[in-house]
Amino acid sequence: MFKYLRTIIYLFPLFLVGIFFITYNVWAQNGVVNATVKISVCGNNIAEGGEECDNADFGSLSCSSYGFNAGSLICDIACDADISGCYTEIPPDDGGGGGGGGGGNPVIPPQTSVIFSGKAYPLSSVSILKDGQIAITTIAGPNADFDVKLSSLSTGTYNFSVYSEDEDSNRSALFTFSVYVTSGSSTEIGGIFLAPTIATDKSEVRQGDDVAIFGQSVPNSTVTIAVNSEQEIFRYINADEDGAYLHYFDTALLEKGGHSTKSKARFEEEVSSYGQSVAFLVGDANIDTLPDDGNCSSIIADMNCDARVNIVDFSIAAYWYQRSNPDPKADLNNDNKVDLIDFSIMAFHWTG
Amino acid sequence: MNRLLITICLSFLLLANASQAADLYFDKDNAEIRTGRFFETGIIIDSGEQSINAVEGKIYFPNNLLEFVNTKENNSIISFWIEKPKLIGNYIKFSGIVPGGYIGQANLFELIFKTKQSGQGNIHAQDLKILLNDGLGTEASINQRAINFNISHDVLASEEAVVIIDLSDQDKPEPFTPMIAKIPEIGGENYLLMFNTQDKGSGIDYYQVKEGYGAFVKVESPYVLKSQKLDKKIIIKAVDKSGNERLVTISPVNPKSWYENFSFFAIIIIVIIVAFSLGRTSWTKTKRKQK
Repeated sequence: MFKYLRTIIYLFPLFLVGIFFITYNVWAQNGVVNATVKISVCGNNIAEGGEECDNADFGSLSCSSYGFNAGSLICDIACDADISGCYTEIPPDDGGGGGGGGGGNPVIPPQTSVIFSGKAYPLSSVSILKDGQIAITTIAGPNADFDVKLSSLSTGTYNFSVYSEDEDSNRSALFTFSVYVTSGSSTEIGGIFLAPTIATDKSEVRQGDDVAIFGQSVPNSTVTIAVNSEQEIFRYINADEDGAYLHYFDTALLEKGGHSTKSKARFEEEVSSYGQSVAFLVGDANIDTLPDDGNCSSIIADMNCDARVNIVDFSIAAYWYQRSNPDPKADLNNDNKVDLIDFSIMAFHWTG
Repeated sequence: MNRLLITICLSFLLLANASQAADLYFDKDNAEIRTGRFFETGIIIDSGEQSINAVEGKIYFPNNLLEFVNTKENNSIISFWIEKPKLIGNYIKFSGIVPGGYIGQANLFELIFKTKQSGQGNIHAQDLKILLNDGLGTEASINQRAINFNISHDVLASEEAVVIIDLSDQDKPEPFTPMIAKIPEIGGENYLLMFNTQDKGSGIDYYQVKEGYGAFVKVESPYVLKSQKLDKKIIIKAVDKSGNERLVTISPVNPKSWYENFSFFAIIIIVIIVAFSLGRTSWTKTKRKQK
């Protein structure tokens, strides 16, 4: 009996340690309140954390990473890189003669792909949406040029959208186009020129004071700033070597009331479209534009406050679709109903 | 490699204005059909030079002459269906959006009917709305054309089966990135799984989800996850109408710690029991020998 008691006494500290770990873990999990969970998805064509590859996306890996000099990596269903398609190619011997034939190199089937290239902002993140979902992201070079290849496509019509975020996390307008992709072919979409980003330092400006209009575009490009008034007013300025531009606009030229401004850029022979409009009020006081603190108010249609407009927001709006007394955050035009107009506004502000 | 170079001229986006009406029409003009035959028609939308991003409406047909068979949404410009085309009485209702907008002519979806009896009729759209991609949801003006048809009696036997399963489609549905989030009004405090993809060949048929060692279950987005600890691997299967499957896997967000793993404790307990039994046997034998 004493021996059993002694065994229990020996095991008791271990039991306490176990209880501690379990309690701590439960507490830690309860303490985490996540609206949107960061996940790693195998099979979405994007090699994320914990994955060596995802379909055609191998990140920085290639056959040379494993000591081969030819062939192609294969991505298995667990998103691990398979080197069975890699091989070492022996260079032909210049001095020797003869030599028999060989097995030949493995035949690599043609990939169906689309290559996107164009201009965004220096070192900015460029996202490519495929039918409304982020398919691939890349970083533009110091000269704002980007070039990215999207593979694993089927034959059919795709709706692609491109947007970028500048150094202040301001997003460009979506640049959208449709492409019919043929199996086994590579389609190049060149000459994409994203409109400049734009922001103002004040949401309301006293009539006669200056409002700073700023953003980012291609380095050394000419930026056209349009301010709407009874007659549209244009200003032309040059972006600096980082693509940044800044213009102090004298509001003495504007009547009191709501106004908006937008910008476009010209670089060499290329011209972008106008980007998003930013609204400001000309009145009797100066009110600074609130910094983007990640709250919902700064991004239209971001209903779950994750700084994105995507399938989560679509699901929220779809829940309230044609229901009575909808949540105000889903009623984007404040008409006390969620209908097609709210979805249209959401589609305009979509980020994927 | 067949290489096609497309240089995008951004200026065409500038042409997005409401000066021109959008067109909605069917890809067949007046059709002559026979009884007992299958009849397929596509619905085409042409935005003109303006960018559109949302559409809804109803497609009416005479159900005394036509029997609705199916819809095909492959190659549709609609990326997200608010209401997937669905038969309600004698019309098919639909609504959906194109994130980022669309300029030009494109397929909305296709309808498959079977003719019932001879007669004349038409298929037409009603309650149609096409909205501009202007951030305000401005309604575009619409020109629409109905399709008139004449069904004549066929002396031959009627077609018994229609090839709804397109065996020529060998491609999987498109890769997609699901999302996990809490949406209080839909799932309360529960995590929801949201997903959506397209299939260019035959269209998406259904989705299935498997959590951990559980079986695949047919679901729709958003789906309330059974495992709210997010400690299990989640596999989402998108199946197209030709039976091709696309699997995407979500790694456990909160993998189980070693002390939460039941099998770990089971092994320890078994080892302890075995050790205890052996020890006791050995102790009993020793005691017997001492006696």
